[in-house]
Amino acid sequence: MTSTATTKSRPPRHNEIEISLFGPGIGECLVIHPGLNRWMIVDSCLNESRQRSIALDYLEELGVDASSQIEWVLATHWHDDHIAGLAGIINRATSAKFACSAALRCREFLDLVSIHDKMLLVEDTSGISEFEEVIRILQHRTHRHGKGPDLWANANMRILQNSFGVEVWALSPSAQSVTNGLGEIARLLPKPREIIRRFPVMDANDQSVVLRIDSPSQSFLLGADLEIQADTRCGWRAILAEPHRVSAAYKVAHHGSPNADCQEIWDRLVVRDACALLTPFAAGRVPRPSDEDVARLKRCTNRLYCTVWPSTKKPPRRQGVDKTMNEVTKMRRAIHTKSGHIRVRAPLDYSSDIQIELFDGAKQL
Amino acid sequence: MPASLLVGETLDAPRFVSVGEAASPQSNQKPFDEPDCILPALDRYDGDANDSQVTRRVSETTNGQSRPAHKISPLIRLRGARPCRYRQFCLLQSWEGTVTSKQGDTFLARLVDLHVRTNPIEIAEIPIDEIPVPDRCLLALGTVFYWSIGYETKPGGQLTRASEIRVRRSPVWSHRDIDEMKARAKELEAWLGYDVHGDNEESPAPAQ
Repeated sequence: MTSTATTKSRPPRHNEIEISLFGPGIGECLVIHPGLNRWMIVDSCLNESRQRSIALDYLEELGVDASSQIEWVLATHWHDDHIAGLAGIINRATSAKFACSAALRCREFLDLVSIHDKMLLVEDTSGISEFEEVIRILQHRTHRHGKGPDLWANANMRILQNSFGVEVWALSPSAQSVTNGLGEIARLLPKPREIIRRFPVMDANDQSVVLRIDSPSQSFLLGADLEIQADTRCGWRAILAEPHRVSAAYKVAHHGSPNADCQEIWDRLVVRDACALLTPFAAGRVPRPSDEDVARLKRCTNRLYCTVWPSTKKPPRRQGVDKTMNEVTKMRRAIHTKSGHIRVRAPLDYSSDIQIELFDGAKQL
Repeated sequence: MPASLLVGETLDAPRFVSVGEAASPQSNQKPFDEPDCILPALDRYDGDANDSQVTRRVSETTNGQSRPAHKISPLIRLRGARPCRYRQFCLLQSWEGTVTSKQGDTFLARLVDLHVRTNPIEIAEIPIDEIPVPDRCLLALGTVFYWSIGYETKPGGQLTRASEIRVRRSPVWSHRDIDEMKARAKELEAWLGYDVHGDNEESPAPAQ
């Protein structure tokens, strides 16, 4: 199933749907071809050199003109690992529409974006600075219709529809999640006489945009980072409260973390033994997916694929430096930036064939 | 009693001497020729002086007569590197870190290599004990710090491996900053062209 470089650069047919998932040790990106040589990019992560979005590299490899063929760019939520390089995509995709979570549609988020200049104190900037750059680019475009994001995505909203009958639907965030998000964003706002710090990672997963791509023959569920919440009006419980089409493939939510997984998702939203796609996350205290996560997911499907298995190799250091690091830290781990690539392709007729291709270290678990 | 202890004169060339050895082959001074002589006391060593110009004062003998000036050789002299006067730090590696979570007596940080930018980001769990005591109150989510590892040379030449973590002292948000932020947010809202809490063009519920 592992494919070669020559097949990787073969673009999809105009009547073929493609979902490409990229994921290095931190961040993920989806490049979607819903047909008719038009493309949609969901989230963004950087390539190995951390200079450009992986999505742009891949589309360039396929010979896609980013300025005219990218139709939509969507940010599921504003965690920096999901939107790194997004401004670069917006800059290139000059005819694309931009969509983001409706939870960001509030004065408080605009307040956060507006204070970016003060945050230039640090080398490693946050997702806020990426969003600020996106808005700056959108502001300078005068030829577009409307201003700002073209769509504030929330539950039960159709984002895209084409002549092949392909539809892209947003299943979240729910209305309650949007409301909860206002309070959480407001808590991040600086107050006078508070020390200027890099923005901490806010728990924005509840406001993630979960997508479902419906073709005439099958559906594909993209779980973003949505989690299970105690409130049945939020998170996955809000989605599970309504009937939905079952999907043949599922981008596992939140890197396989147990707080984003429940048996009901597998029983009610995806087919039996569905193709499950996973990206790792190595930046937390516990790297995801852990061995327990993999064992749990394999009880739900035999077809589990991961973009890359996180490497434990540390960057080369002088002996004295390495020794001192080991003495000072209780744990340390490098987040490698080389991304694997899982590609799902299926014809847009009534066939149920799905082709899975693995590139650059992606593997079946 | 070392006969090579000389008095008063400037020393031209330091050298190792042993007890009983004459400082100069040409010296005809007999050791211990005065039964009541007293060893000249090295009452001060000037480490900054040129090695070839070390001078000594000596005490008088018991009979009150001053001795003629003689050369003094130090008992032990290390050749080669001179001990440094100040602490020196040779930096080997440094990172900028950001605190991403705190739990108990440790915190999790994201480290960016400041020397080789292409090196991957590292995640480290660091005990709070590694932070200088005055900086610990500054530790919070989003706090930025700098971690340096290198070799420290102490006055006297002792070499040790050293690790230093310094929390960045950042300014505080002022009322003016907050007002500018709100003014800019208002401009963005006006640019958006509609009330931020306005409605999208809603699509119908998905087909099941």
